[in-house]
Amino acid sequence: MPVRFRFDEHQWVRERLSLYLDGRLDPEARARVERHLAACAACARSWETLRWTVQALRAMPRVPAPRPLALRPEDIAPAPRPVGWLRRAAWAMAAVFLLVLGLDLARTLGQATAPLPTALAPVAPAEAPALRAPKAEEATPAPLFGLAVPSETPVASPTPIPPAPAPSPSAPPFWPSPWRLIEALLLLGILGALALDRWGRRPR
Amino acid sequence: MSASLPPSEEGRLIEAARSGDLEAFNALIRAYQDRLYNVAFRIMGDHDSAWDAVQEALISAFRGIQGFRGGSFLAWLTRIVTHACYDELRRRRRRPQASLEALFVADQTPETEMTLPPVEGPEFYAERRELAELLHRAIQTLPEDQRIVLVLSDVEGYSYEEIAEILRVPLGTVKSRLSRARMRVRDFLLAHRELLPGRARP
Repeated sequence: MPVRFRFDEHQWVRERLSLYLDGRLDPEARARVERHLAACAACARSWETLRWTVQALRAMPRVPAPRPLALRPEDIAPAPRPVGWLRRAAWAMAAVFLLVLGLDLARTLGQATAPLPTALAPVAPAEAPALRAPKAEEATPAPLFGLAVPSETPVASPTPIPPAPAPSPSAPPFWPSPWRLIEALLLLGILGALALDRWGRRPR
Repeated sequence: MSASLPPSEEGRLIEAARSGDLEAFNALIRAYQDRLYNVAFRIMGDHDSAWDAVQEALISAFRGIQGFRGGSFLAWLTRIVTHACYDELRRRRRRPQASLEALFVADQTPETEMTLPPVEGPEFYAERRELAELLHRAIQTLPEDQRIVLVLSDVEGYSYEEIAEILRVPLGTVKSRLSRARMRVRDFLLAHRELLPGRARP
């Protein structure tokens, strides 16, 4: 005959079906589950399907290893990190970058305090001051040859000096200065090395 | 079932492995490799991940063999394999992939009008492989904690106590995870009953 259970009772029983299946309930709980299953068709179905599922799981064939599992001596040798050199390279490039930046800054500041600064540095930094000094003087009407013959120039050439033919200080350079190029390349190098290093250490 | 070693032989090999004998360690592994691999395969779901997890586990087992304090060596190895799987699953979770399976599972159907075939009998064994594939998919839909307990219990046959020891969790946790895992696998099968082989279909 049908028995009416409180909802809690169905829940209580269903939560214990797994333990009931494994014979892990104390006699009292076990009797209570069995009484319920005998009277409640829905829980009895739940029990049947659960039992079937667990039986099917237990009957699953074991999947063997596709090849023998064994360690080789090289598997257990302490492995050095293969990507450590990328970080070292990034640090080295960062040091060079700071050095170049410092030199560049000192050079630019030196120019800014010169009597007539020119924005141009079309040649390598080492020879730039030697060439730049006369050019800076060229823009001024006198003296013509800089410091070498200071007293002669006003007398020797009374006519106005024509402006320097090339390059004009106001025109922007077509190609950035080699300083900027070196700095940009170093920055790219640092970022590239860090990205590669990160990629090499990604979780697998 | 892989050939298990007589206890004296196992003890001798463990002692040799402890002093750095790789061949002795490999002899131990050979005795248990199918059980270890099956655990990893059922937890990870595919051969590549299972192989990687087991390899990683064996390396840490060899390096940490001083930490083996007696008891069941297989349980100790299983514990390391299980943890390697767990770590890998956690790494994967940090890079989540959309799971359609999870959506299907959420769409559960009531368990009424369900008929199931007997688990014994020739027809069952004929359909066993097909069913095993569906069960394997069902296991993959479980949350990691439940999946590991279910594999150790129902696929590998460890007792509640052994699982509690392997996972170092309280017995009550094993019981509740296993109960929830079984219910979920059952519900998956019911939700995919059209994929159940032969007579299992309603």
